[in-house]
Amino acid sequence: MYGVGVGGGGGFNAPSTASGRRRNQEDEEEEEEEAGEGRVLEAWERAYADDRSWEALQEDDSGLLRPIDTKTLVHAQYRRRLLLRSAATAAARIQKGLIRYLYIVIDLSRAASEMDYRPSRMAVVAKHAEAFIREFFDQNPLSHVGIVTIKDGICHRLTEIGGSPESQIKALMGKLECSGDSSLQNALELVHGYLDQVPSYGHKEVLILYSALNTCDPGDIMETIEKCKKSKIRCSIIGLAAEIFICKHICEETGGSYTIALDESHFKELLLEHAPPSPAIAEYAAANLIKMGFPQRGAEDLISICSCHKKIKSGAEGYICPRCKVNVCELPTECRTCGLTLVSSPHLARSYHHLFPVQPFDEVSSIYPNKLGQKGGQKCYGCQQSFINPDSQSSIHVRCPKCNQHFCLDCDIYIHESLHNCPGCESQRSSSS
Amino acid sequence: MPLDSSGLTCAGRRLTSQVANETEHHPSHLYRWLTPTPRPRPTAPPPNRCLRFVHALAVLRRLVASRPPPPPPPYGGDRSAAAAAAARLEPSWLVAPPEPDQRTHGSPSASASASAAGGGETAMTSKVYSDDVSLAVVVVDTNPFFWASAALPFADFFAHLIHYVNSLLLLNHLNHVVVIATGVSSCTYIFDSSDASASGAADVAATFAKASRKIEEFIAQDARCTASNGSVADSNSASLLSGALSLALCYIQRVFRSGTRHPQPRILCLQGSPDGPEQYVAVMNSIFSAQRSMVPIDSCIVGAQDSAFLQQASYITSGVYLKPQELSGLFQYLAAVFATDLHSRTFLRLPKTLGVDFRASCFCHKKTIDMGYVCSVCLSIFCKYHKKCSTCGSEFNRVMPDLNSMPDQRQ
Repeated sequence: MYGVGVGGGGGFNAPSTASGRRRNQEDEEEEEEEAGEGRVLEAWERAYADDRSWEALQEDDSGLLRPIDTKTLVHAQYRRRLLLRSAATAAARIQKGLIRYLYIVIDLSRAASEMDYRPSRMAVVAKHAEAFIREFFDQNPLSHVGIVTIKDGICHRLTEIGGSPESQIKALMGKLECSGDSSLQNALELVHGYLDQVPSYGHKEVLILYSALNTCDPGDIMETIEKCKKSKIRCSIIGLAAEIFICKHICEETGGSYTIALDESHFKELLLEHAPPSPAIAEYAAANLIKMGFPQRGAEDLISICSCHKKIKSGAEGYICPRCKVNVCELPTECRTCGLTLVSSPHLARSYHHLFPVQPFDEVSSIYPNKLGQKGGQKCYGCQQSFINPDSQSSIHVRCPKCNQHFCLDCDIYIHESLHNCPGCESQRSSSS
Repeated sequence: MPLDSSGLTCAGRRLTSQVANETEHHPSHLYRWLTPTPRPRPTAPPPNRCLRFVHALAVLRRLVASRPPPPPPPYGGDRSAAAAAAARLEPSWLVAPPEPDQRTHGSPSASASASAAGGGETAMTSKVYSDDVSLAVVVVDTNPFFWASAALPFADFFAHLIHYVNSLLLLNHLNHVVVIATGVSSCTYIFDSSDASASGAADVAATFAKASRKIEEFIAQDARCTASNGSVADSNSASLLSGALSLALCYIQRVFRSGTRHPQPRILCLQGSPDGPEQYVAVMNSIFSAQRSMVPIDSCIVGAQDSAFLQQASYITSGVYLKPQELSGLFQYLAAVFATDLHSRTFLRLPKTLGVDFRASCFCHKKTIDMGYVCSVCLSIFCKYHKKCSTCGSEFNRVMPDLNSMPDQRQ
């Protein structure tokens, strides 16, 4: 599982530079070089699109071109986003919508075959939608996703709304063809029909990945927007082409966000911004108690047919619904027989970090080395990396406002994006507890 | 000393006897590996058999990897038992490359000098991806409330630990070991094998003397912190496991991004004190982050009671959870279960992970429940229907939850 078992002794194979294989390897190296030249060519091509792209390159000692160290730039960008996010939460004391029902609408009209994204808009959208679905379930284990496609002016529901990332991705990858016009109204009508039925505590969301520059609607789209607004469906749109008035109008009316991707990496960034739960507006979803089951694994000797794949499984492979005793293969899910939401306690725990986020750290530039020296030396508290870096001109780092420990920029990102704990605060017993 | 062998697998026991024989055939191989061993502290008698087991493992790996062209008889003495042992290991360990690995098995002097400190500079220059190099972060519980009444004195425990760390460094000279101590009021790094100087046997003793001095300092300082912080007077307070895990993960991330080498990281928690319920969210966050970066968390419980946190941690991250029965033989458990690298683990019969009970307990009565009600706003768990959430204060509307959870969206 950890990439060690299947590889079959990669450590032994890798250094086996026996002379018999040497020739082969040299050939491979030549091929690699060719591939490398291909990459350079691609960057050169891109130089037409991005103005002054050569400024992002510098020469290293051996005369090879490499990109300028953009770490501080990346970090500044990330900090801006983080601060924005935390400011939004802190300002209104808004709760987060942890239980989300999201439909991803993918535009597969003629415009999706445009080649301004390589290889095509459709392929890029599909690739990142897959990553998004995985990330979404990682961050929101109690949420549900469904996929809708627009093609030939007609909307088609690819997958029922559900909790399993694999089945969604499989369905999406199997249906990648584009033709015809796109219709925002049809998409919203269809999604509205489905989302109207979800329980009232769920946060209803639509995320439209829109390639087209027009919409070909059968009726008045304004009425549809009103309907969505009334059912508290939050629509967000990511455009791949250019800003369109009607998209902006939809997002403004329903409380979503409208963004336009500049290129592939920007598109990915915009898409992944929708993965963490957005601050919820209180009346959008009624607070309620949800009845949930915490199933246990079945006994070894119990043989039963699982309700999801209709296959014979032993009890130890699945979980037993505590209400109707039916066998299900994976969690979280909804029992097919009695409709009980089945989860395990780690699924709940996985969402807790959204409720107790780590505060953004303050930026410190080490103008006062003496002061720093008193406070645990010039080292990152998390990873023990020294802040004094001979080859980097800047020695900016950050400080946790609570525990006053200093962290390097990499740890800062790791702590806020993945760990969700401040190591300094955690290794200090707060006097209140 | 009394040695409990239930932690050892069958194959492990055979290895001990067989490879001990082997060392008599090739003493020159062994000397290089023996030199950096520090003298055991006088407080604990040297667990000889265990050390030999680790050395045997090391020698076996070396022999297997750098088998000379006319291979020596792989096992001396009792050949049938050897064959049985070999059969278990054959699929992977005996698939040796046609030529000796230039890097790991270089000149004797190089490997001898590097073996002491687990690589460091030499490791950074060589571009390596190998499955037998591990980065082990050991989290040591130094909770004075626990050790005051523990069955095993802390000095003995620490001697076992030093032997274990040493064995890890002996197994592969690129191995990297970091020790983090976690007390009641603070956590700190105690030992980092990449910092330790890489120059021979004399320094090893100094390094470990430094480590033990550092841990003593830490314990004293931790005690001062605890004394000054009046709220921690409770004699069964927990250690700061969440902080230590967070530090360990930060360190592992640093190694991931810094080197040209991709080590196989793992975390070993040696915990004695009970879990601190107030750390639940932080510990779970660390576990999920470890799972995402594919870092297994192993746990070895040196205390009297099982730790629900670490059971979950090991289960979720596919680590090994072990509660030794005979603590005086702690080193043997450590060497037999937790010393091997992640790749070799697939061939060993390690203690099986028991199924962990993932049922939740309700916030109102702390009862473990099969079915319950979860607040949609803050995810608090209750065993009965309430009108208002006691955690976040949201009022629930009057829709009967049972009807509400029925799947009316089924087409």
